[in-house]
Amino acid sequence: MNKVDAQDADAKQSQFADFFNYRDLIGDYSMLLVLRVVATLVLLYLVQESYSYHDPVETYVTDYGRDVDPDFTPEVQGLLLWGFILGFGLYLVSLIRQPYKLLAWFVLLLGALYSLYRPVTTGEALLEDQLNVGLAKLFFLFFCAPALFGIYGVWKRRGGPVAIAIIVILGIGFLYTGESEADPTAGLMFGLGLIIFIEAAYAAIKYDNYAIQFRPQELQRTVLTAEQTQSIGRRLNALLVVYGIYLGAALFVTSIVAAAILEINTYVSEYMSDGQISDSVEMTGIYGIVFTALIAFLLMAIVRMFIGADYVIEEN
Amino acid sequence: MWSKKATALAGGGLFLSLAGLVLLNYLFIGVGIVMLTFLMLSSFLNLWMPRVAVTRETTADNIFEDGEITVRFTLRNRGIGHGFVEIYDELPPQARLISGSNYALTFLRARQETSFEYTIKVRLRGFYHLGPVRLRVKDAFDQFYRERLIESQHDFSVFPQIEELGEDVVQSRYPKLYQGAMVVHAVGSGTQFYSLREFFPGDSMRKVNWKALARTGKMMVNETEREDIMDVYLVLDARSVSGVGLADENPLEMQCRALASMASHYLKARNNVALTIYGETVQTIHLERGEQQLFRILTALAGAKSAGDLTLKLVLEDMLPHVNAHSPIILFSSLDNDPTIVSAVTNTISMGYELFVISPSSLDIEARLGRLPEAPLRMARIERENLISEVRGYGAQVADWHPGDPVNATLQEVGG
Repeated sequence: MNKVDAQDADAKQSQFADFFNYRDLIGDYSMLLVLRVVATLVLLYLVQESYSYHDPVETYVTDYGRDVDPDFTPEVQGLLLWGFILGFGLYLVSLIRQPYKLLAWFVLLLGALYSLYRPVTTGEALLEDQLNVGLAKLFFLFFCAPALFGIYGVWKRRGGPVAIAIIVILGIGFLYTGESEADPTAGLMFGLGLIIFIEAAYAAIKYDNYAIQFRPQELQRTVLTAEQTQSIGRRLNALLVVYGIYLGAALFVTSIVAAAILEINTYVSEYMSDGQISDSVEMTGIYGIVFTALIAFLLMAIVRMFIGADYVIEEN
Repeated sequence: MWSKKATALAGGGLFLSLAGLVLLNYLFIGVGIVMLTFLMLSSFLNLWMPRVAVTRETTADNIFEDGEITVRFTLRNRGIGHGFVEIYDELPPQARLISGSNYALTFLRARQETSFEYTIKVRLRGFYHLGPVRLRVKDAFDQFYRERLIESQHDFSVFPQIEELGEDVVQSRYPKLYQGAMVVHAVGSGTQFYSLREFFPGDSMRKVNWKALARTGKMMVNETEREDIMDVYLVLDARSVSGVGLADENPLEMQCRALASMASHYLKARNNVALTIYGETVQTIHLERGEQQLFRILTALAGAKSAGDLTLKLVLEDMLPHVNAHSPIILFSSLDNDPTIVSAVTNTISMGYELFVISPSSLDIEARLGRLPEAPLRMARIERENLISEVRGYGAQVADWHPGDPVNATLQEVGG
């Protein structure tokens, strides 16, 4: 590419950047992009897992949904797909620069209203029917919310939407009307997945904030030289590798300890031939697990208290 | 200490465990126990934290406006623990980061030493400080941390920018005929022989050294050591009215830059320079020469603030008895809101002093900001022109300095 072509390409890139902040999407550091992708995949897994335990069809929300639209059936794959499309789409719209951004939000709002109001019957649709269909779509949107907010939060690097996603994921469990999971270890993988998502999303936000401080946010393009960018990239990679090692180790130990807490009562009652312990219904039941967990945490807290002397962090 | 994240995790874990108990839901209990276990294990990471010693070095203690100062932090882990360390050095709001960052996040291994640096630029003169430093040592998951505020401050001064002036902008009609204690090794007009050099077209024939011509066969001329050493008295108007305009463009800022340039110029030529700053109080730097004097003047200028409303007449009446006869007095003032200006000028001139006035126009600054309506602005301009004409009429040389005009050109105006 000769010099004139390169200048033309730069000018076109600059014009595009004036319209759409694509640098935010790609980022300056590949590791941060990988982190966002990982957080997204973990979130999708988490939502799927959540819905496999708490099927959206068997919730109060679906009951209400069917009152207004008898065909209302929130399928997990559809919820995931729409959650992803809406979350990522919202993020992409947020990257459009002013004054086009306002227009984009306006178009989006109109589209959403039209989608909610659009008559589904070709014949004489009553206003009430249309409103009911709109209401059913809102219920559908509610089930999309974990993926929607989670993906938006991860890509936009905002803690609030991520927190909302987690609250909705767990909250749907409270609206579940089906039969509860009877396996004590059911929550283990789900819990680990939740921790991974929290950590990945949090790391994406934290390390991106760390990287972005080297570039004034109002600037579309980095003001750092290639060498400086590489240096920061190396530092980020080093931090993320250490962080990854810590996370891996912590998750491994957590899974073992949590599994032990959840399963120990079953083992104890199995290996006790007879007597009060093996006959105890509470011990292998849900109260026994919580009680064992309390004892385990109490022991850990005592150990931590005795070996946790005050520490000097600074000498100058 | 617990972070918000740890608190949320603990609250969430506890809530889910209890909710699972109430709803008889194993999933909630499992998730709650995993969250609490993760939190509990993280608290053990907090046990082997690094012991961090921090050192801060800077490239300069004093810079000029728009100058840069590079700060280097060295973090040393004196312990055998390891962990993540965050450090944040507080910057003055006027400072702008040029490279690096005043915040660093790093992982410190046992006995490891690491460093980072950042560069700031400060646009406005003044006294500033870096710090205090916030140091935070935390676990990998930001759940537990220990924080300390290190009250270490690094003071630095930002001096007004100095422009190189082309030639003597203000020449005394009464140079000192002796050189004082310090011998001046500079070529100039005088009577004391300094050196020989080759003849160039335009040199006076009276300067030709005939003996040297006879000895070498080349036309040589005598060079003399300059004797026009002056005692220059600089007076800075730092009344509250001098702060009219923007933070970086107001009469006081313009005056400070011009005064610094002029002081530097005269001190380089081995003249004696004194400075009087008046506003709320009167601050005086007594007549002296040399680099130390320039430092004293620049430091005083760095601290000059627009405040008070002392009149020029009062200041000059107090000052003139201590001013050497016939010495030039250079006043840097916007000549605003002081009814005693004319009488102060006439008194000074009548006592035989040479008075030069460098006057930045605050009206032009206000006009550029669009703060004054057209009619009052026109009237104010006429009043200012009349005042300048009157002061000139009494024998003072006045440079009417418009914002945007270079310092050099303005000072040449009074020198010419």
